[in-house]
Amino acid sequence: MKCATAKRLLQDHLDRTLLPMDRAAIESHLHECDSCRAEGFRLRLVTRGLDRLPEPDVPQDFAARVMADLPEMLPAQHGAGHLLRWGLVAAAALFGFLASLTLLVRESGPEVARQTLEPLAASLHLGALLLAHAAGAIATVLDAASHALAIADWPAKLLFVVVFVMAHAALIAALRRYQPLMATAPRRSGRA
Amino acid sequence: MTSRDPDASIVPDEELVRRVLCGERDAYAILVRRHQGKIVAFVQRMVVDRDAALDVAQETFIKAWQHLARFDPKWRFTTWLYTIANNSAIDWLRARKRLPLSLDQPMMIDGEEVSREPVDELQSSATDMLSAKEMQQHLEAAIAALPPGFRELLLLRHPGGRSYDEIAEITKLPLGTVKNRIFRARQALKDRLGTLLPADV
Repeated sequence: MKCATAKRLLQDHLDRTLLPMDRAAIESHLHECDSCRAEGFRLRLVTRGLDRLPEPDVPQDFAARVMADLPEMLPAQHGAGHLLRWGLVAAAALFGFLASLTLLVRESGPEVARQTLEPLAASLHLGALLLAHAAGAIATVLDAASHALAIADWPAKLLFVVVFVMAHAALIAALRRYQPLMATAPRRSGRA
Repeated sequence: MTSRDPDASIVPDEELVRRVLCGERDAYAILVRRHQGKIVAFVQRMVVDRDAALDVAQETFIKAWQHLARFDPKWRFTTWLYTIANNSAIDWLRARKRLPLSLDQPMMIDGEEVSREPVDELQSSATDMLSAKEMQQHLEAAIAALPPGFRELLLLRHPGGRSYDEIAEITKLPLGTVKNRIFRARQALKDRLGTLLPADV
């Protein structure tokens, strides 16, 4: 083994993470090479010194000060707030869905009130399906985001808003796409 | 604040977290007392400022409390706590522009460039036998002179022997980067301590 290779493997050797074959090779080299042995010994001293760094003194009242500065609300109550937020999300999604339906009915014209019942049923069915998918997607993304961004609160909130708006836009776009199916079929039957 | 649980010392962290989330506020005091020493030590060596370290450590425990409902039990509590402590320390350094980027750039502490010359060239008593206490002081100074991007990884590894995988999880860095930086940081310490370290086995 060359010195360059040995020096590259020295720290893995100190960490005891080398494969047996590499370990045998470097140990053999260290036995023969004064320079690499000295390098390894110094690195070992540094590592040992790092592992023995003492903990500094912590003021006696440190924990008491932390506890005194904690918000009154318990984390579990934050959890309840989390549920409340999800409730608001569901309510907002439902409101958005109903608003989308209102828009569709208005664009179809007042003369199709009767005909709207069928599209309404169809759109409710479609909307429910889309909403379920959108909610599932939001929940998945939020769950992943809340783990990935567990520390910083605001990015998760921002992501939440972006995902919600995009999911909602997709829902409306999908409903608009199905509008001709809902609006034209009853009209044709009405004209006949 | 005292615990209601006489066997608190043997209760796992994750169980204490569960108790806190069930409304047992005192369980959090046990967690704070259990980890305060290591967290203060880590933060103090990161920010190189005793008073600031206590503030940042306190902020760490308060942030952990505020976000405890998001703690995922599949993680170790300490991994999560060190993630918060590390981020808080980095934020503190960033706010004070104490973040040199690499081992090759000039290192500034309190507005002054830190020498990279080996300690033995700076000390008149270089060849004297150093006590363990003196060696520790030199080591602390050498750690403080490392760029924070290397210091954080080194201090997550030592003391305590945290695995490279866990450090990668805490810092969100690739495993290869973690190992490479820790190796380079140890090498930099060895070079800085120079001949203070005996060369023979």
